[in-house]
Amino acid sequence: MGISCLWNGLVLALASALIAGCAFDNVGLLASRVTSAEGAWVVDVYSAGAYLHTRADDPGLQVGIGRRSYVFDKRDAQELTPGWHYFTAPLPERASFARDSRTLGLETTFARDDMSLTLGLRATTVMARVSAGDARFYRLTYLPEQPDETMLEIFEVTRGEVACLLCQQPAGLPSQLEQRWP
Amino acid sequence: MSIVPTARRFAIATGAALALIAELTGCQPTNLYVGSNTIVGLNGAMNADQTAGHLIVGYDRRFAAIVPKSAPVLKDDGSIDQSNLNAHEAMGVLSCSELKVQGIFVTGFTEYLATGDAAREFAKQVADPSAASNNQATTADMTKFFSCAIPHAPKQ
Repeated sequence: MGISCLWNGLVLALASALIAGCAFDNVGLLASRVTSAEGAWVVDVYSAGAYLHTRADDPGLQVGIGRRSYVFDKRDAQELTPGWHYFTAPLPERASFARDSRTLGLETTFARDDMSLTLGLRATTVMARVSAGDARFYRLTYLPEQPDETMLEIFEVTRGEVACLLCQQPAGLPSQLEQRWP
Repeated sequence: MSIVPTARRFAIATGAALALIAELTGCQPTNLYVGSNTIVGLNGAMNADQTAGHLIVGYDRRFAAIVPKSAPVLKDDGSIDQSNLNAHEAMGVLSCSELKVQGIFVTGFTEYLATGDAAREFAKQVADPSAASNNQATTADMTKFFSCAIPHAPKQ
């Protein structure tokens, strides 16, 4: 029954791909939802059909139905508009801090650390992806089904003190070096 | 027991093991990668050098951390060792991951991460005995930041 169910799902996904259409990076037949969270933006991108995404942190081609979610640091409270967006995905150019993707259908990935082809269901969660030369210090809590619960705190160590760079104040705006822990 | 040597041993052991795997497979990762991947169906994958790969039919789930060894070699003062620019070493990482899984999906996680200079600076302060007396970063801070037992920092 499990295989039969998966097969039916696959047929449905591929059929939807043929009927639906295509999307390329930020535009096409897709819907996206931007969520403003504590210290982070969460962008969920829903697509049906062929979706070619060439982001450096998530290159690949998806044919079927899927959801790709990205968590970005909130550098500017006005950078994105929370809510649903149709036929476009307002994804910032910078690399995401985390990513969660779920695809039913065909998915190929072109990343150097992930070159693969999948037919069926694939669920990937990237909890951290940092270039070898980068210095980062953060704590990220992310629940893909509850993006508003996301919390990103970015720290720096200076003169032996740990300071939080992107901790939100009650007004909802990020503060610089105003919160310290402990 | 001090947490610092333990953390160092863990980081070094992890880095060395993954670097060895990367060496054996001929692939040199350039990014730190912590993630989970679940497949139900058919999956084929290959490394960038096309020297290793796999084919999965059915169900497979993996949790992995890849620590690149392509970071430049540093001197004790933290500057890049100019005398040997071709040499590389494992990336400095302090990390702790908490995962919540339901069925085949990861439903949530908390990732505590420090890399590169930030990790070195933090570890240096933790290891410095004079720092504790100055109310600076201590081994207690290390525990608070990288112990998965404490899910969130308190808000002020």
